Amino acid sequence: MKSMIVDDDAFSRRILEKMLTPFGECVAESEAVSALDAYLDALEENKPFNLICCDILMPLMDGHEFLAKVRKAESQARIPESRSVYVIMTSSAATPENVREALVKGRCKTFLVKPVDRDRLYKELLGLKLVSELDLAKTRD
Amino acid sequence: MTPELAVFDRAAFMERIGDDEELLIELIGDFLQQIPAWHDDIRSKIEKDDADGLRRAAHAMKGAALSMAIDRVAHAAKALEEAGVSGEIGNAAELFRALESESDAARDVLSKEEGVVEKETDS
Repeated sequence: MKSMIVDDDAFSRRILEKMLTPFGECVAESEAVSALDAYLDALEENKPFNLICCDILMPLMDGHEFLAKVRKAESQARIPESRSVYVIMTSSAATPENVREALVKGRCKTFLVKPVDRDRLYKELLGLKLVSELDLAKTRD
Repeated sequence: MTPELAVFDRAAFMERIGDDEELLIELIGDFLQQIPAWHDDIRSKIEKDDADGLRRAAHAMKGAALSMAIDRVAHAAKALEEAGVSGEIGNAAELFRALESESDAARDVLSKEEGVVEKETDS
C-alpha cells in the first residue's frame, strides 16, 4: 500500500506515519500544495497512491480544497470513480458541514476524529482491503 | 483545572504508537521544546487582539497536544481556540494563564517520563 499523510501538525504526521509505514511506502506532507504536487507526480509516473489521510484545517490550502483538486485531476486523467484514491479525512473539526463536505463532495471513505485511534484506522484499512488480517497480525508481533 | 482529564494519558499514547519507547522520547522532547514557541504565538495574538490569529495559534497547540494525549493542555488550548472562533476574546488572557499552568504541569510529568524511559533504555 502506498500512502500519503497531509497534515500541518508534525506530531500527528509522525504518529500516523508510525501507523502506516508497516504496510509500505508512506509519504508525509506538511501542507496541501506540496501534497498535491506529490499526488500529481505519482499519477503521472503511473505509481499512484492507494490511500491519502488528510487533515482539514491547514494554512495555504485546506483539506477540502486539496481533495477537490485531487478529484478534478482524477477526472481529467479519466480515472473512474471505482479506481479513485481512497481518502480518509483526519480532523478534530468534526462539524456536520465538514463531515458532509468530505464524504459527499470529496467522496472520502471515512472521517476519523483526531486523535486517530490505531485500531479504528486499521479496521478501516481492512474494510477497504488495503491491508490483510495477516498484515495487521504482523504489526502486533 | 480539569481533573477528569489526565495530564498525560500514557496508556492511550503508547497504544497509538505501538509501544515504541524511542518514538515516545523523541516526541516528548519535541513537544517540550515547542511549548515556548506556541505560548509566544498565542500571547502575541492576544496582545494584538487578533481573534482569528488566536484561533490558528491555539489550534496548532491543541492539535499537537491531542495527538500526544497531553489532555489537559489540549483542553486549555481548545478553550482559547473556541474564544478565537467566537471572536469574543475578552477573557483570553485568563484562559492563557490556565494554559500556562497546564503546560507547567505537563512539563513536570513529561520531563519525568523522559528521564524514566531513558534510564530504562540505558540499563
